[in-house]
Amino acid sequence: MLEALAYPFMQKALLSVVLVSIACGIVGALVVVNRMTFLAGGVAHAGYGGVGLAFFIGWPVMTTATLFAVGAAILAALITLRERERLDVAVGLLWAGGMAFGVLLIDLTPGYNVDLMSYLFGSILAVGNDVLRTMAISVGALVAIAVVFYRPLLAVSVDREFARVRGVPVAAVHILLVATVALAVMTSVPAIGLILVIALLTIPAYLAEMTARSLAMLMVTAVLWALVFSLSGLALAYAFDLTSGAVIVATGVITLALAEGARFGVRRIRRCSTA
Amino acid sequence: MPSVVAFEDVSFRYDGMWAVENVTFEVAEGAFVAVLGPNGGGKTTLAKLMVGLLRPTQGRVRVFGDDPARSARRIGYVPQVSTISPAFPITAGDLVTLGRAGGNGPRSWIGPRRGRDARKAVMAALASVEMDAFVDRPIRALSGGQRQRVLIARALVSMPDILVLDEPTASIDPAGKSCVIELLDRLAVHRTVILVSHDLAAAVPQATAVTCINRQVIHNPAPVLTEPMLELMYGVHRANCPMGTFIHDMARVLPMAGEHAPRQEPVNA
Repeated sequence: MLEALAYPFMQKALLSVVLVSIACGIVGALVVVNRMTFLAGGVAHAGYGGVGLAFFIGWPVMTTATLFAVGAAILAALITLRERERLDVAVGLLWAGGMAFGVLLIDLTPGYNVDLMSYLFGSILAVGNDVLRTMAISVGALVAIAVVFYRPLLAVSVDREFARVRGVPVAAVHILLVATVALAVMTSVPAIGLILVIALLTIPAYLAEMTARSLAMLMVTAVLWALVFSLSGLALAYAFDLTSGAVIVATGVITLALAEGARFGVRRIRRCSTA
Repeated sequence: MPSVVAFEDVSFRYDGMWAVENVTFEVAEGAFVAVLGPNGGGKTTLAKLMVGLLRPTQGRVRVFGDDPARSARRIGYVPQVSTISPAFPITAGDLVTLGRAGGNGPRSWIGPRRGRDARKAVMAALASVEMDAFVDRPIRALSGGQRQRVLIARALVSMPDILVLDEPTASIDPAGKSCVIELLDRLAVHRTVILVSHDLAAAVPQATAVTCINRQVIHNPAPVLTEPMLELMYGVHRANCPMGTFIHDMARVLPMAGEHAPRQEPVNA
């Protein structure tokens, strides 16, 4: 396994999963505590529209798709700010509309045959220097946002109403929150794709939530869990010649199932011993 | 006594339905107001209008003579405990610290100051609700009553002049309820308290004024229920009330107008 690290494509793959783990750990913590998984799914699929747009107008794919996804996320945030009960409709529109828009634009792009699967499921071994650079910049921005705006993000995540009464700019923080989700999703696309990113946003943060005592601790623990899944998934994918993105997610799902099983067992034992 | 809260012909509409209509009343400084009413009668809407979470469809609300949003720093708000997920990873101390959040300009983005003074203020607020020993305990490890006390401490940490509590005894066990009622009695000494509750035993023992709401409002600056108040809230007259026992219980904790019985001692349910 270690000899694989001598290959440049493997070094880049390793670096990309580390970056994805940092992005998904930090933003996943915010997604889980704000119960925004569905919205994150909508934003991820809306990103596909950005991919189609990039091919259609001939712009750099990652930058265009990221800007498109952040724009779509801000639009969703504005809609859900005023009518929170219509969140499901807004997300449904983003989800299906984004995908349809992307497919249509790629259909209309003359003479172009795009491997759409690589955007849906990622192609970690094909990550190039340019993409790595874009990912590093995005992760840097995400870390900076989490550090600088930690307190308002915490205040809004804990209790929106109370934050509003205290004068916290809740609408602006909500938009920032949804935009960071879009940025994290698009950062992860080259490595694990639009569909599998949802798992990496939720599973590490959900596991971390079981033990964390603060949002900061939740973010750090979620990053560590994401690193465990990414690195072990990458190793397993290399060893057994499997699709790396899918193995990373499968590792997370199995760990989550084992953790839930252990939690259930401990509860049963405690109940039996107190009965 | 000068008034600290004033509703001037206030109406509020949700989706075409009037939740409160043509409401006019004032709350005197230092009063302990029990806001009573049936479920869906507009109690929470009234509280939210008071703290600036909702803006009136017509009329205006004044807190210390100003817009509620501009008086935010003088208002302590305790929402229903169910607004916060018990699974949220936060300790009691950190939750109370958020009571210092907000402010004007960049401060609203940077968040509350951390440091020795902030820690002292948080500990003092937790001590006032007898929860200082739980400062580092995650909220998921607290009971419903303890969590409610922490929320009250969060509202108190900014030293507000008015405390608005929305159903503070809902969803907590009888022991926790009793503690919260005792606590409110002590807190009311230093500030104006506005307590929204459907639970008469929780709301009225300490009340110095009563506001009854069922879309419209009847405010009495004395702790006395009147026949029109009962009729507004429940559509019944005391004389031929089908809920005789209920009305009897109500009158036991809060005298009816025309009765000369002395005010009852606080009842700790």
